[in-house]
Amino acid sequence: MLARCAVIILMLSCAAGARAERQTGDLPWPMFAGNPARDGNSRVSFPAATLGRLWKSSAPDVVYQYRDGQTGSSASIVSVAGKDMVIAGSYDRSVYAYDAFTGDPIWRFTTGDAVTAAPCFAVIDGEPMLFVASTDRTIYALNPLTGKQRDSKGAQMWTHQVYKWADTVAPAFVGDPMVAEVDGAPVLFVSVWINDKKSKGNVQESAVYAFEPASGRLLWKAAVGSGFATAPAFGQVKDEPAIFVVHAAGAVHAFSARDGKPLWREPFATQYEIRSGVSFAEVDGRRLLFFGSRLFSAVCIDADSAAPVWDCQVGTWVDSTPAVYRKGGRAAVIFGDYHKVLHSVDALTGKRLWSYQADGHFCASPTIIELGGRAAVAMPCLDDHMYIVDAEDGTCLSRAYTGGFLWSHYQRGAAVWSSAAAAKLGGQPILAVTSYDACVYVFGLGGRDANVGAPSNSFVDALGGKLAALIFGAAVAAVLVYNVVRIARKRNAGGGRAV
Amino acid sequence: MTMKCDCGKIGGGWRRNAARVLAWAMLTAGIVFISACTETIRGTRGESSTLTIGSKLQIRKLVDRPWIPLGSSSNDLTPFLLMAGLLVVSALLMWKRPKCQWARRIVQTFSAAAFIIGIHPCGCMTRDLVLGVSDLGSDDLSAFKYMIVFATVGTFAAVVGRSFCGWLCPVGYAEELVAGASRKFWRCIDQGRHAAAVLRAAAFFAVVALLYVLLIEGVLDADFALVYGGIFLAVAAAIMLGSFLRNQVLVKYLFGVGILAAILYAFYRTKPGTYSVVEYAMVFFVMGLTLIVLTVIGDDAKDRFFKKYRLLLWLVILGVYIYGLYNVGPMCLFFQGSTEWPVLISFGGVFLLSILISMAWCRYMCPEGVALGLLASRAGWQINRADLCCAGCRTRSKLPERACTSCGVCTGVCPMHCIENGIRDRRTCIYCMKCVKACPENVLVLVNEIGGRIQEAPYPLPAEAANQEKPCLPDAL
Repeated sequence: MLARCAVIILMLSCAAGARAERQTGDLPWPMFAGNPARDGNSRVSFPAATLGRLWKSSAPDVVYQYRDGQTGSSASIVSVAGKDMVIAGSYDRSVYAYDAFTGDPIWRFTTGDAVTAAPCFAVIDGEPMLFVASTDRTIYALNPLTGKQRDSKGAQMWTHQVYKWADTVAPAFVGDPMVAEVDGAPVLFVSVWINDKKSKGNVQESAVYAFEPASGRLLWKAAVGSGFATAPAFGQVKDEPAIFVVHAAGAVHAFSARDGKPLWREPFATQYEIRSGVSFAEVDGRRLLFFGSRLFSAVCIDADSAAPVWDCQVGTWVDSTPAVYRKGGRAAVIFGDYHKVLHSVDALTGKRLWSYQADGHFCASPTIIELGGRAAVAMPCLDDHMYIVDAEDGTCLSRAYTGGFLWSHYQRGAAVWSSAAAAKLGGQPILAVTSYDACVYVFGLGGRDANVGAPSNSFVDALGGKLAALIFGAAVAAVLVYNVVRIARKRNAGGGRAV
Repeated sequence: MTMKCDCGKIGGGWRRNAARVLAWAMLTAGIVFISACTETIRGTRGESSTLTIGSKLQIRKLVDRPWIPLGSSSNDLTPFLLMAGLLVVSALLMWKRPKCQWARRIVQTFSAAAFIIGIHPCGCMTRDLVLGVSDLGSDDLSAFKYMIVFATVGTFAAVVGRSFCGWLCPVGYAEELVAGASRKFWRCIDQGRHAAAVLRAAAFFAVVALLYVLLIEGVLDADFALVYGGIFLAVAAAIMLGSFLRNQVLVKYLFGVGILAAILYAFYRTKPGTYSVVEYAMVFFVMGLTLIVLTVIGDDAKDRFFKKYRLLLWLVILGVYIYGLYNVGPMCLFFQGSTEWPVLISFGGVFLLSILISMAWCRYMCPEGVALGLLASRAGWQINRADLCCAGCRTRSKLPERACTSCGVCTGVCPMHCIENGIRDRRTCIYCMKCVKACPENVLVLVNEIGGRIQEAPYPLPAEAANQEKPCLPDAL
């Protein structure tokens, strides 16, 4: 039984990238959070103690497009037929592929709307395939070598429109697609939330879809609820392969990966919203799920029974999908929060191990790497930097500038921004971040020093902080002087009337 | 040995002092207990100059999973039912026992306990209204969650006025308690007892410092101690000067300047508005409230002026929400259990300003209060003078034998400073019923203007009470 579990877990963690790894020794990053369990482990080691920036992509055509609730597309790093590529979606309706080490554009594929989910790479029946979920409510299968919907034999690849286009329909919110093996066969999973504001024929539904990746045939569809659903994670409930997905209205669902039937008697419901994705890990023989909550905590529940295990209170929202760092027999869960703090807690007890405070909110998912022989966490921060923090003690090892904010404001928590992707291709490790400025930043060995960051491009700076302070100070002084004069005029020994 | 206490009563000195010592000991033990119950891990300082936020103060909610969920979600009917139930209870008590302040205190205490440590509603009704409207059509379940509290409280406000503010709101309760506790301090100033006044202020500052150390930072760092000690010394000097001059206004004014300095310093030090200067507008609102309080201290007539124009402030905060900026305020500490810096700073400001003017936040600034006030101005239940025919009253509920003597007692007891000679500002009144209780002529009564009914037991006139006569209603009623 244990051996069977171990084999299944190994299959889950390697999943789509497994075949490429066996052939070349590469460690690709084929999907959001690195693997179907979404635990953020990359196993990529950088020999140097600091990283330099190798390249930065040029800004796409249209980047000034922000809407509440959007997510930033994280990058995927893959190697196909000797081509090492960083592939990422963009707000300008396109998916871009760049050379992983030079940043030269390789191809561009345009969809009907912004691509905010990370592309997912898999080798299906010997054919490399890339799955792109666009907010135009459509899922595309692409040839990752060419960026076209023609496979290596020239056959047309599939497209699946989840919901028919109509002018009144709002763009869909799609969770990052993921390919996992179920009973030996690969299955593509993606979550989609479709809504509109029509008074007649109003549609409000979120669901998880399972497709046969080679043909695009819909295997099953499981309804999640009426609101936003986060990226699905793959794991196990008892002996059943399972898909876990979070409904923003505060519920975690578990579906059978075979047929989409619910595996728990009822979903795990919290008292408040959840915007974080869920990650799955087996720790000390227990199958656990980790996610952040807007009830100011990170939460761990038992995947088999949906019973709560612990919750770690942090005093603010946690939208960051937790990563699981393992060393020896123990495991730690790492996540960020809106107090600008990165936390590490024991995976079994929830006891705080360390925390690190930066200058901006953390809402992405951490990536576990090794830097200069030390286990580390790479975590993009909304202060326009990516932080690399020691996974053992929370010491900041490095910090790199990853582009400024494009918008004069954003509603806190309304958007979840991109996470870092780490991979080792051809023996060279790289770290890629898709920033909210719609550019891809790639770091590695031998690049420009990235430790010195540029200042934050905040609205306060744009306004002129000193001018604002001067105006406010003058107003305060005027009120004080005005009142002093009035008091002096009305002064009497008995004091003022009690108000 | 006996001594004359502040309130003029004669009591045993040692008993009184022992009670004070016991109260202080219990308070300290309570703070230590709360601190011990919260997390004790402090965050590691990074390269940033900002503080490690909320490292110790975390409000845990007893109910962390919905009791009555809707659609397998977090949308829980429990907060709505609790609010509705408490509002019904408060309305019944208001009608049946209008003079029972202890009943109101019980409801307030229960409500505060339920919302602070029990359940997790979002009490910011203006924000929720905007979010709910924007979610309509795309996620109706979410819209329902956001709008249900406003719908409930708003409906009650349209019937029984701002009873939510006076009976349920924990922020208002905290402000009332602070205002009540500081009353003796101001009496010391008026009586020229400067040593007692300084000692009371020192005790207050010590408690705040203890709370800061135990609940927020974990240690009394040098930076905080320097600034905080400086503010205390300035306030102590002001108290000495003010009590020598027996000038309450001067002390209040300097105290207010100290509060403003503390808010500005806390804001500078924590820099909560990372992405937008308007992101945490409530902190700026509380800074503005400090200026309003300073102005009202200097000139009573400005009280009415600021109440009149607070609708503009509400429109500003509504605009902030519609624009889509994230915002948290003092109420989030209690309702949500949020311990973010803007929440702590704004609540700290509201808390301290209550020492100077009772319920300053509720009077001039609270966006929920303004919204409810709009509904309350035409509410069915009104507190009216029995000797006047109220506007809109269909049954001419006059009690001509009761007459207001313009004694000013109602004005003195009103925590919102919204009644004069029995005539209320309907948008400001929170239905605390203190004026009804205090009126020596029993001229203030609760009237149901919609149903045309008057409170069933208008209390007897003093003369009638002296003659042991039962209260009677006029034949017309």
